[in-house]
Amino acid sequence: MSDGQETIQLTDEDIEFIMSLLRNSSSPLSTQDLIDALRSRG
Amino acid sequence: MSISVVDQLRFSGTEAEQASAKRLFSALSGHGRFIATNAPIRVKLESVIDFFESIQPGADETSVQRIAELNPGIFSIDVVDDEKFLITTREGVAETARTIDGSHTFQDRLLKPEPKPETPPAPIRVRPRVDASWATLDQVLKDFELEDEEPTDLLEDDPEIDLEPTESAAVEQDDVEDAAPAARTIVVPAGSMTDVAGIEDVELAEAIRGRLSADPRVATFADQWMMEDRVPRFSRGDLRRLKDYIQEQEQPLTDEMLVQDVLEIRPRSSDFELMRFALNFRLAKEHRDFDFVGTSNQRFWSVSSLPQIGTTRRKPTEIGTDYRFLVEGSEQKKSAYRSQTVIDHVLTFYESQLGLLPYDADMQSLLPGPIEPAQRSAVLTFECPQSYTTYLVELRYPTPNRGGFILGLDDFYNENLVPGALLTIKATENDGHYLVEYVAGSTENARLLELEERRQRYVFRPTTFACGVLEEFMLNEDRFAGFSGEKPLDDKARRRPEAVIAATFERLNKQIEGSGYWASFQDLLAGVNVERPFSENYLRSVLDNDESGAFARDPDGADAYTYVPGTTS
Repeated sequence: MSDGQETIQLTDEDIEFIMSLLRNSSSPLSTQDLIDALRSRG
Repeated sequence: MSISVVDQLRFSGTEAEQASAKRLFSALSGHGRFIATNAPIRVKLESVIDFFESIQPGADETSVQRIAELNPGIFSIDVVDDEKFLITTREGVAETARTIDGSHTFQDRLLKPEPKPETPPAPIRVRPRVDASWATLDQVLKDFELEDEEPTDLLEDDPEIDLEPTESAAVEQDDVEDAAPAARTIVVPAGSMTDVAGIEDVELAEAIRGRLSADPRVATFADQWMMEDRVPRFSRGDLRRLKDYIQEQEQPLTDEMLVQDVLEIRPRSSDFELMRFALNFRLAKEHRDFDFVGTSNQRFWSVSSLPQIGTTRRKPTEIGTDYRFLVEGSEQKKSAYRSQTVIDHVLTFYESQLGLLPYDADMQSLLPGPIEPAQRSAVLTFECPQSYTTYLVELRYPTPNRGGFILGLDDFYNENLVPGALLTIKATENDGHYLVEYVAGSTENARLLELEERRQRYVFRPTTFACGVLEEFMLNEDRFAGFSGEKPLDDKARRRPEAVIAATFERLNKQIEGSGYWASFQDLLAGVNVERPFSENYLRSVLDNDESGAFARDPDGADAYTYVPGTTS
């Protein structure tokens, strides 16, 4: 199905994870910070 | 007049015993005069006897115990570890006579939960009933082929729905046992986390931007993210002070300068990065007063009242129109921003006069793109290590019908370069800061073309320069003598590239037998750039695709063209 050209769609759970990171951060996070956090997620 | 407690008490016994009891009570209440009136005063019986003997010789333990026994409501004797204590209180109540009222205590009030309020009986749920008109549905559905689903399930009066999360797509299972009432199981997909191991950073970044940028709860600026409600806000007074400060400095200022100088937050402060983000995010919403003109690493802010960076000889819109060829036809190449780290450029007469550089495909591959969707320009710093000078320049991004360019290099060109000079522009780690260098050369003198401002005529003047030049682009009197005394073309003629080329042929003044002019492509390229910008490709495209037939490639020349007047207007 996937032809490798599709845009990646994050799930609601991914977004909730990102939102929790942002809620707990007192300073701005870069996109790379968020990517690193998604990768290191257990 | 107050009456003491001892006078109010009634002691029992003989008159002498009553007097002794009274003295004993006075002694004890004096001993405990600083404690609460109802707190027990405990004194060792031995001490009481010693005291009693001192005031009433012959008194012993028996006489003290006798007094206590005669007045049980006032005195009591307690034994702790074979030690006897005589006890009373300041209000004359024996401890044994006191009762503790435990009917209302803090312990009860704080720890004992109140009884549950009585819940009213649950209202009777109205069970959904299938309308009688659906009773014939099974007959209708017989005509349709159903694989695993019994249509009768839909008609069950009391379907029990069991939600079971799985990772597969929603399917309906039909595990109906014969004896059990028909039940449907709907399996819904559980929220699952994306496995990001095999996904590139670029794709993930795009997905994150796609979701978060549309979320009003999230604040974003220059690829940074934060919850909107955690971003500090600025008062109208703060905004006014920021605007005034930029106006006072008469040039765009970076967010770091504004946070330090106006908001007075030190760079080492823990709040510094937060306030930088807040400043950028909040000012970006103040479209009427502030313009973002920065890059990702060097975030400049400007206000509309600031003077324009660079030349005032020509309006930016006119310059953009001159560079229109960069956004159309063969020149319209899309290069990835910041994909190159160094580019070379040969300075033309037009660029030298106006102190600018074209934003062509090469320049686009060196410089950063706009940060904000509506960003029209970016202020960059160009540092020339050879002259120890840093110039504030403004990159005007292209629009659909105007080309882009960089303004603000007038002083750099005037002090160091002549048309034909070779420039090198290098990127640094900071996407807003660039190193610009020229090829240093020995000091030379030549009569070079200039535009005399007062008379608006081209003239040749002796010029001293010490930079490396490409001879083909240098406008010296030997090759371009025909330009001397010429007036710049009027705007109507300038707008037509064919008219500019025709005028250049005539100024070069190399007539051929019969009628017409001849010019090498290199001379033409240097000459047309006196009036307006032409790239090499653009000039060749106009010459080769001329429909009037006025221009033609010279079949005998190595790379030359001819022009026959009268065929262009």
